[in-house]
Amino acid sequence: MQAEPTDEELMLAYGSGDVPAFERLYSRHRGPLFRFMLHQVREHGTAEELFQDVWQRVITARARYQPEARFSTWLFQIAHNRLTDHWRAQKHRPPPPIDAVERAEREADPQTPERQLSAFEERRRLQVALEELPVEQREAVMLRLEQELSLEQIGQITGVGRETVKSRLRYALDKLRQRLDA
Amino acid sequence: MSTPFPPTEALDERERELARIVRALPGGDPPLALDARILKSAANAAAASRRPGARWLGSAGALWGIGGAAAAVLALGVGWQMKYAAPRPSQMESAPAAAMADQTEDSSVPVGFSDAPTKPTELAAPSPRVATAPSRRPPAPTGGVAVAPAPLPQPFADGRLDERVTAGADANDSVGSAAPPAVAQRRESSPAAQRRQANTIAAKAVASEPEAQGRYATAAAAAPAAQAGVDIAAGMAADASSPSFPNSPATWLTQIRRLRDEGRTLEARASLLEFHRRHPHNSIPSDLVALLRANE
Repeated sequence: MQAEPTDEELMLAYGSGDVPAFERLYSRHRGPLFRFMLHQVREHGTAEELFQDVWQRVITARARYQPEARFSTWLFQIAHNRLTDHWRAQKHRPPPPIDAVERAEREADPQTPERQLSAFEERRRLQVALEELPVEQREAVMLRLEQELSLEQIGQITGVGRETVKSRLRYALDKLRQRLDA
Repeated sequence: MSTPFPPTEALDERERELARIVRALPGGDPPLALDARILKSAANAAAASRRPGARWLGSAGALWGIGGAAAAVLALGVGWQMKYAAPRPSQMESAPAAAMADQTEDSSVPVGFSDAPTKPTELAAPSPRVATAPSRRPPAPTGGVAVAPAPLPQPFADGRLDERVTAGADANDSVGSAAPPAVAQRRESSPAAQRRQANTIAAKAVASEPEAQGRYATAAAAAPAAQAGVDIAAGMAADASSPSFPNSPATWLTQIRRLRDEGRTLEARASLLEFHRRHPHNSIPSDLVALLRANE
């Protein structure tokens, strides 16, 4: 059985002109990256715009890509830089959308009513808790929980040291836990 | 391909529970239209890289471009050096022109004559002599002997032949000895005798012309007369007492004046004739024109 090519191998192949390699790479990371962007900007239109920008930068840099770090680390580093540019252009963090909680409540849950309420309530509380986090903590916790990146990787993406990442994660996880247990 | 990267840190229990909830949050995937746009952009970029025209910007193309530019700059530099390193023809041509220009200061030296001295100091001092008019000078014949438009001295108008003058004069004799033996026997040291001999020789030369050559104004007439003078001059050169012909016209003229002043009129006249033969473009100074007259 042939081993699945790694993300780095697929990216190098695309740099040589292998378009199917990019398609496989895209399918692996489209969901996590989009969710990451969405959780940061909390608005679909902006998330799609930033999401497309990030992948366009990946395409442009294909010829000079070097697997000095994991591909996911490199991808989310590009996403982090794009978000930084976005926040700088915005000059302030936008308030959470008014209907965010309502949209979370309207989501259909295929589970039983009891579980549906519990699960729904969990998600709603977590989403509210995430939106209340500072940008740096939310970014770190999303990279950690959804992408399962290490502290070193998160530090490379966000441009801070491991201890700073560790501190941010500790505060963020504590707040999320408090929200869920409330 | 083995991963050289540090291993990922697994989530602890608390993180795994929260991760489960985070991944269940709504709005997880991008829309299909967005996927299509991104994949199309990736394909187009790869296709553009495969086109031949886009490759020259690569390292090989850049090297070729740099090499071509360097070769062009080198060729321009070499051509520039060759253009300005070679001696200019105008510079070489200006040297004789400059030398000739110095001669205009001396009115006796017409501009443009071919035997210009290299040193202007060798020219005679400016004197009120009649300078020739180059513009009015007739074109030089094949013989290269041009004659000044000055009026023909009287003796050359005389078409009489001196029976004492015959062809085949001894070129080794002096003026007197260049004449026929009969003339040579009658050679006298008196100035009058010398004048007669010179006139006779000159008259013979004039008489050989098909047309009336009462004026010493044609190159053809001057040539035989000059030839007679050459005979005399040759004889003078052979004579130990006769001076050699200097290369400088000014010096030559000075020598002729000295001969005249010493009473050696025939020699002076012969020398003057030879001078005129060799320097046809030089005008004869007015003080020496008298040497050409028979009755002086």
